[in-house]
Amino acid sequence: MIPNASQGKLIVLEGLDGAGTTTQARLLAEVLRVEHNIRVWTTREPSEGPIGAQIRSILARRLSMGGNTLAALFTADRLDHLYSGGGVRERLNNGEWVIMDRYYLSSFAYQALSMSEDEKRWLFAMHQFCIQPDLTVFVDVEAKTSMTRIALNRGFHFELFETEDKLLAIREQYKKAITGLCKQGEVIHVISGEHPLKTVQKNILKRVKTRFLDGIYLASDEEQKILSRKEFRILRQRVEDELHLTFQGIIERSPSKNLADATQGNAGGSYSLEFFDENAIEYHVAAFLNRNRTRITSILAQTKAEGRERISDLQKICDSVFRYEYAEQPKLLGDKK
Amino acid sequence: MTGQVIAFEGVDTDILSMQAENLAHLLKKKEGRSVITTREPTDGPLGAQLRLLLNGRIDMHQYASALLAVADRMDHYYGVKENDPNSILVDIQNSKYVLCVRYLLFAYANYSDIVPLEWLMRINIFIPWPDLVIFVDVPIDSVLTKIIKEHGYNEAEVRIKREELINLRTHYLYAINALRGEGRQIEIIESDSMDFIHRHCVKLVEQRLRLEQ
Repeated sequence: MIPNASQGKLIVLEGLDGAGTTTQARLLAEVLRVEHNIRVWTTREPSEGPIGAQIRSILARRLSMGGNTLAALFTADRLDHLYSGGGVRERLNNGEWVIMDRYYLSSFAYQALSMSEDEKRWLFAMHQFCIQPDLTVFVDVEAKTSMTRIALNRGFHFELFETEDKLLAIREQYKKAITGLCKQGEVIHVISGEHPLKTVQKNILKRVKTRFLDGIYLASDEEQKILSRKEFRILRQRVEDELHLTFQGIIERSPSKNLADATQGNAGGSYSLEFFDENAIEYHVAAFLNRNRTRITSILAQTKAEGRERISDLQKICDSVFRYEYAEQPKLLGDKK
Repeated sequence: MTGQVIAFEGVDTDILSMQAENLAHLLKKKEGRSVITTREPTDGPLGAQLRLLLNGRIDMHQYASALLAVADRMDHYYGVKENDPNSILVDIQNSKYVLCVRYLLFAYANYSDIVPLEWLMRINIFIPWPDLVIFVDVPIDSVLTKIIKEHGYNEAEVRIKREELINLRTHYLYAINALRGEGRQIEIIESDSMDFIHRHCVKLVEQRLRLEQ
């Protein structure tokens, strides 16, 4: 997969049918547009393109196709969706955020279910030119919940993959695929979709904000700053220097704990956040910044009130923020003993 | 005895179809074995979409169309279910000859200048290389003369067509060179005589597929 080097962010919502990803994609887009003034495009797979239309006929059992042929078709539709004019890449390059209702994780769960290891490698190879999402949120529901919701929504019109046994197996396959992709550097968060719609929305939003907005989005009343990757690296370095630790070290000490929830003081409602890589560390640092946002904002305001030179150098912000934090609250990270 | 796949490749499908039909006729007569003639893009639903794409009726990114072609080929080779009687695989198992007008080599020729060859090979990995691949290399001017006679193109159209044919031939030769480097066997017959091409095809089948005289 190709990392997304564009200014826009690619966010993917995944889940079994009936997990509510379509509704959640719409809700998330609304919040990002209204509250954060971000240009957002929501889209879905199968796409509205010519291949997508054929896939829909296959899923509705109006057209027969072999399993591997369908897997190739899904990937073809995906690449068309990404690279055709007005598609995902073009919008990301224009700075738009793209929220996708399903992406390649679906293929690795649904199509890979009955594949041999060789076929899975083939499936993976077909995805070589896909753009890697900046964040994937898997909205996890039980197979039973999925079946109930499908029946309620569509009046017992079930598609190709929609039997309870199949959904049960697909859910397991999703989890395997998530573990595999996380090991390769993808950022995938699993949250429960069993809660009421608003709770799920809140949990998705929290992941998005922590990853893209709160953590690396510093704001006072009059000043806003979204940190670049380079700036972010300086921040991370600063945290590590000030606290005499490395985030990798922390992660390795308690790999089974839900670190993000621990550091953010969450009681639960979501689970299975796992950290494997640099992206996860970034997420962790973002969580730290999120918790200290009030202080960052107040320092920015104080500096301005005192008539000192406007802070343009991020290093100065880091110096102030982290010295302050270190003196005031030595145990900055919830799981650090 | 298992069946065999013979692929006819080249810039003009009418010439390839004619050669395939002639060979099919001979194989049936000489061997009494069933012979299937087929083509790619196929006449199935995915092939229909590929034809629209080749005719410029729909627009699609090259990565997507390369994979759509793979899907059409998978459908052609394996069918929609196990032991599908309409699949090439079952035809081979039933000892039939399958003569295909354009196949894997066309896919490589069509895309090798715009997507990496290595990727094309990986995405086509489940399609076995044919037992015999014949690239029928008829001079472009001969092909054009035939086309003008059939379609009555004007001068501008002829210019465009000539360019298209030259491009396709160049891509074919590039793909042949690259694939031979990967150990794939590809035979080239250069001629504008249909009889000569047919005789040469028969000879290749006799040599390579050990057809009894």
